[in-house]
Amino acid sequence: MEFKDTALILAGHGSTKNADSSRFTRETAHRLRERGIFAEVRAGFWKEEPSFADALRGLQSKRAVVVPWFLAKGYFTTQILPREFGETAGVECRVTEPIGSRPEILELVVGRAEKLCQIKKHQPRDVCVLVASHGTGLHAGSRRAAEDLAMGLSKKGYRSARAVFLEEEPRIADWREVVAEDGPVVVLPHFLAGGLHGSEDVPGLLGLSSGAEGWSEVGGREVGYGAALGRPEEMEEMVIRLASAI
Amino acid sequence: MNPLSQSGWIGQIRWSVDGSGFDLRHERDGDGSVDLLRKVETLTELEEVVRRDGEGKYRPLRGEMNLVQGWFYRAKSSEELREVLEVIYPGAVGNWEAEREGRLVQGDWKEAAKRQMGRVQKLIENGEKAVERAERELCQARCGKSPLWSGKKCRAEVGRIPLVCVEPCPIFWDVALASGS
Repeated sequence: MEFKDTALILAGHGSTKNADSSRFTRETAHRLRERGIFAEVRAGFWKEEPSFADALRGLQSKRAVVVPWFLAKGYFTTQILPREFGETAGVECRVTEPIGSRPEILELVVGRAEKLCQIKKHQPRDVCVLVASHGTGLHAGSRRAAEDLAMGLSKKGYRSARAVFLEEEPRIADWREVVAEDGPVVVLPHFLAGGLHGSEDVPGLLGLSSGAEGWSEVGGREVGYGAALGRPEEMEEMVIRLASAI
Repeated sequence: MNPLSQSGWIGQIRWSVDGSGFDLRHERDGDGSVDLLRKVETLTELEEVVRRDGEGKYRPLRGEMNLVQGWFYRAKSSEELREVLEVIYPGAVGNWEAEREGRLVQGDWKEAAKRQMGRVQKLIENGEKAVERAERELCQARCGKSPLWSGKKCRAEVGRIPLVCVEPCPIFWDVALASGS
């Protein structure tokens, strides 16, 4: 598909507290701009500048494809983004499915779990896997995306695979209640890096001293923490595929 | 005269043009040789410079007049200049063009609050004073943008792209909620 007269907007959440929350969104925008596929490339945010409206006003193109930098078909992607990009003067916008809807996300999460297992030479059948996600009472889609990933992981031969949440049950802080009583646990953050949730909040609730990828001991248990999602080199092609899908 | 094809200013940044591009620097870094300044070569590197203040703290209020000094960026075309300005003052060029061309549809803070989450929406009913305080403490005391949504006008100046604020930003809502609680 040709995008020579179409702008790309990566629409993310951003943060007023954490400078790194939007880092990978912005880096992916720069990488895609350099490839020259789209007439223009912008990142826009709910909690940072530029706002979605500011990003649109800065476009010279009359058409834009908006790729939601979100992991779930949740509140933001079904309520906020269609509204913010729905009535825009002068720019015709098409909002795609969110990044989290791509099948590659499961592959990436599986790859992170395998990498951690290989470090310790653990067999999947001995390892309990947790997908640590946000969850929200505002929309069931956030929970569903994490549970779908846990389902996908459970087919890879792990001892168990469950989703745990910041704002829903079962809570991340109660992780011991959803895994077997003994044996190693791998936790995969279902967050787009490098926001506070994936790098500080979730590790803190698990009892880890940092959000770095790798193994730690927590109360006598081996806990492996995976890398958050969203690295530009992993996201770039997914963004193009989402933009190309009609 | 279009500042994007000439020498110009925006916020605390100014740029000079020569035959092959634009040199951007902090306005307080003077007119001397760029040899005395650190060369910033990519937009990602530039983000690292302008997204933090002199103490290394995150500066989410991008119109705040605390940009760090001591660097310069060479943009090779007016298209690249536009991208560079987008990194330093996100949305500013587009807002200025829209304002200049009469494309800005200006609402007040209550209209903006309606599109926010529940806590901010509640300000519509009883947050008038909190909003006034936030405007004093944030917009007037810290931000270099002209809040058009509160009736301010932007001052036209030859060669300078004005920083206009079209609607309250996320930090404004944070401050309003904090001062209203």
